[in-house]
Formats: sequence, C-alpha cells, structure tokens
Amino acid sequence: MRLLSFTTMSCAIVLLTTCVVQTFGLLPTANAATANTAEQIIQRSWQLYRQHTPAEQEQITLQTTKDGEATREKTLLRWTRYQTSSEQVVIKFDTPAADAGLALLIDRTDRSQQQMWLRLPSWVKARRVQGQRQAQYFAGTDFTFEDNAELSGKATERYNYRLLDESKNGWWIEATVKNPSDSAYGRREIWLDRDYAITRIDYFDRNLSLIKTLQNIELKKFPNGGWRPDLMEMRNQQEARLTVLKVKARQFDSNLASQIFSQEFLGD
Amino acid sequence: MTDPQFLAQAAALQQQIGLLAQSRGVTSILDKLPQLQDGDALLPQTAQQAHDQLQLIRWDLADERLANFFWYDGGLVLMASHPADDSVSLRAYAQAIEQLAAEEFPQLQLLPFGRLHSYHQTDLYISERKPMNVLWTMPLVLLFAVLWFWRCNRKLQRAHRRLQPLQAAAAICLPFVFAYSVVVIVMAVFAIPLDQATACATALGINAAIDFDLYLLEDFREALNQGESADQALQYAIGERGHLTLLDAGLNAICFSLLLASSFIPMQRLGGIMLLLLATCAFGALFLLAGVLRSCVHNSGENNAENDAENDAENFALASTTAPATAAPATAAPTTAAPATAASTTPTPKTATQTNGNMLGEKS
Repeated sequence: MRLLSFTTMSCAIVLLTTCVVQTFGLLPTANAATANTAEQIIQRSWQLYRQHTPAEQEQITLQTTKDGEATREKTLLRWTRYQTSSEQVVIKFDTPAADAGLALLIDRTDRSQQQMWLRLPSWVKARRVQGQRQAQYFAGTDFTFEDNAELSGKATERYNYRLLDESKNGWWIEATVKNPSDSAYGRREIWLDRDYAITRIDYFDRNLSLIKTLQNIELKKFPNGGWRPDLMEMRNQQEARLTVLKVKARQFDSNLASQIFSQEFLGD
Repeated sequence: MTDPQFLAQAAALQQQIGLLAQSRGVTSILDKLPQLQDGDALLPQTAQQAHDQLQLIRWDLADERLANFFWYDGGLVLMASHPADDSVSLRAYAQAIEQLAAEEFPQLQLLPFGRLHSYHQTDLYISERKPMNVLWTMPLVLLFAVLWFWRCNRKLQRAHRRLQPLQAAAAICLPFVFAYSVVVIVMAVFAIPLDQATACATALGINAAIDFDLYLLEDFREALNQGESADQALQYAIGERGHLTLLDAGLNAICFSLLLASSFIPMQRLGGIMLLLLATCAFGALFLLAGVLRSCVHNSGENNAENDAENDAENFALASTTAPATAAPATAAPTTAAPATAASTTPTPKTATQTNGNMLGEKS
C-alpha cells in the first residue's frame, strides 16, 4: 500500500513538473524540431515550399521606388518547374513597352552548373549571364540575378548554416557561402516562422555591411505545409530603394510545357 | 535618349570635337554601345536596341548614380578634355565646342556644365573686371589714407611738422602703381595670361604694398611728431627702420616662393608674379616713396619761426663739439620735461631726442 502510494505520488510529481515546464515554455514543444540543425531547418523549409506543386505560373506586379523619384511599375510572368532537388524558372516581362519581351531563364537542373540566360527584346537570341554579372541587379529592381535564382529554392549544400536564435516565433539562422566565388554576399540572416516559412532575409556584403532586407509580408500557407509569399518587399539600404513584388495571380499546373523552359521560348 | 537619330548626331558631334586642334580626348557612353551591338552597325538602329543596351550598361554599373552621370532620360554627357595650363585657353576651347555645336549640329542642345566650364566663366568675369577693379582700388586707397592722415594730424595739434593728408595718401599709391606697371610689362613680354590665378595677385600685391608704405610712413610721421626735421625723419624711417620693410618683403617672398614648386602651372605663375610684386613694392616703398616724402611734409604756420630757429639751433648743436650735452637738462628741467617723457615712450632715436632737448634748454 505504501509502495503504491509512493509510485502514484512519483508519477504525479513527474506529470506536474512536465506540465509546469511546458506551460512556461521551458522545454520546446514537440513539433519545434529541437534536434534539427540550422541546415535541416532550411532544407525543411524549401522541401515544404516545393512539395506543394511540380510547376506553377505567377502573374506578378513589380514596383520600384527610389527616394525622390516616381515609382516605376512593371508586370511580368514567372513560370517555375520543380524537380527532385532542382528547378527551372522563366521570367518574362509584359510591361512597360520598352521592357516587353525582356526574359530570363534560370536553369538549375544541375545546381552545381547553374545556368542563366538573358534575352533583351532587341536581341536576336538569348545570351548567357556569367560570372560577376550574376551579382548585378536585374531589370532595374533590387533583386540580383542571384536573388532571382534563389527565390524558388536554395542550394543548401553551398552554404554553412548556424542557428543564431530560436524562439516560440521561429528561427533565426545565419547562412554563409562555403565558396566565396559562389555568391556576392558575405552573409545572409534568415528568419523562419514555426511553419518553416521564410519571413525575412537580411543580405550582407563581403564586408558584412547590410545591403538590403527582403520581407515576405503576405504569406499564404497551404494545408499540406506548403507556403508562398504573395507580397515581397526588398528594401535596399545602400541604394535607398524599395522593390515591391506582388503576386496578382498564381496557378499551380503540373502540365507546364517543357518548351517554356528553353532558350527558344525567351525569344517567342 | 533612346532615339537612334539623336545618338547618331551626338556621336558625330563627339567625333568633330575630337578633331578640334585643342582636343586631347572626348569620351561618352556612346563609346560603349558598339561593343553591345548585334550585327555590323556601330550604334543602335532602333529605339529598342538603344534602350536595351543602355539598360544593360545600367545593370552593369553597381552604383546607379554612376549611370546617371553618363546619361539620363533627356540626353547624354560628352566629356571633352583639353591640355590647358590657363583658363584663357580653356575658355577658347569651350567656345570652339559651343560654336561647332551651334553651326553644325543645330538640332542638338548643348548644355556645358562642370567645374572646368564654370572655372573659365568665372575666370572671364574676374579677369575682365580686374583692370577696373585695380583702377577703383587706387581712389579708395587714396581716400582711406587721406582720412587716416587727417585723423592723425588732428590728434597732434601741437606738432610742428605734419604730413599733408592728400600728398601722403598719393605717395602711398606710388609704389604699387610702379609695381603694377612692372608686372603688366612682364606679363605682356612673357605672354602670361590674366586669369583667375594671376588676377588674385593684384589683391595680394595691394596688401603687401600698403603694408610696406604704412610702416615707412608711420615711422616717418612719428619722427616728425617728435619734432624731427624731414631729413631726420626720413633718415630714421629708412636708415633705422627700413630693414623691417625688407624683412617683411623677404618673409612674404619665402612664403609665396613655395607656389613655384606647384605642379599646377597657374599656381607657379602666381608665385612668380607675387615675388615680382613684392620686390617691386619693396623697391617702390624704400626708394620711390622715400623720394617724395619730403614734399608731403607741412610746416605749421604759427611755429614756422620757431621751427626755423630750432633748425638753426639744431644745426648749431650738431656742428658744436664743445657744448656739454649733460649740462643743459640741469638748467632747463621744467621745459625739457615734456620732450623727455615723449622720448622715453617712443621708439625715436635717442641721439635726435637728446639734441632736441638740449636745444630747447638753451633757448629757455
């Protein structure tokens, strides 16, 4: 009888202690992925992003505002096709008239051999974007060619990740590129919410000065864990410029024709 | 900016400017366009081509402000260089470009800008007005010097001899009239242009000349106030105090000679002209001014007889070798008190003061 009482009391104490600790947040919750490394968190984030659909088409409005200047607006279409661990992206501008036909193909079928092809409206055919040019701003926005490539997926194997902080709101992770020639940035700081959706990225140059901040403002979450930002703001501190990218329409379509993701399509 | 015709005309103007004899090199964003051009054409043939190429260059330039420096929606920037070592030559080059654009490219609107362009414009403004400025300086110096000497004379009601304000003021102007004459001749002979650099020498020259003149005149006037004759005052101002003028001129010359080491030719010229100005101003102050100072002295009417007697006594005292100089002050203590006090507080020569006191004692 005494033994039973002791066992019961012990169980009660353990249960009570566990409740108190969990109530005050002293231990992480079961889905907080405590055992996850920073790299696993990022991988999980992009896995959820990609698992929602094999392909999609987005109609996007892009506004660029510079201090003291009028806002410039452009519209474009973006097609994305996801494969197991890679993706292909095509961006094509509709307006303004001078930019109509400006197109970019990002082919990350083999991420170690990532290729970008640019076609300006007056060019007969697309030209490959190489080397240093990938670090330059694209189409008068605050997104570089490199940023555009990483909007739909990150090549996690090229980065070292470090967990800077973790809270009930999510994770704060630092990403530094393993090979400095692979990126124009010295460091990125990435914020993710508890659903693994990326909410903010700070971009630092090689001197570790903050260049710009990307904020995913309108995050759309899907039942299967997928996420998409409908409104993105890239605030460029160095250039005192703001680029707002708003997704006006998004269409998930697994049957996007393969000819879209080709150099020929850029000229059509 | 993306109009192919505009680009073609701008390129033609750039080429023509490059052919001007004074041109060293002319560059613009147009030099870059042929490298991006599809096909054989050197320049964009359509507005779309021009837009695309310029946009590509803009993306390549990390700093957008840099791109804005080369072109903007309304036009582009031609950078013309000219091996000028004076602003007169630069002005001629700018005018040649403006004339070329007006005559051969009337459709283009040329808007010269930049520091070098404003440099020769302000230079024109300054150099054209400099002769008038110098001429106006003379009466102003004359006026202020007259007022100065008139005010000094009012304070010294009892002085026997005074400087006549107008004559003294005119005498002050003499050294820098001389100095400027020499400088003008030298500039003409060596074809040194009157530009911003050389024009500012006049202001510095006026300062230097008036400094030297005032030192000399103040010493001269002070000696006169102590009752010295014009010759004695001159002897004091030149013989005993003249080295200060030379010292001042020398120190100034050392400072300005550093300009000769400048790699910027206008600065070298300024240094050379300043050395010449300082030398001629010092010469003018010590010789020309000294030559006319006697005629600037006015002997007070009521004291004329006394002055003459004083001069006679002075001559006598100077000639006499037997009169004991120490005996007189003892017999004439009340009357010598004032001059003795004055002598103790002013830098006038001791020998002259003692002689004066001795003479007054003998008179009483």
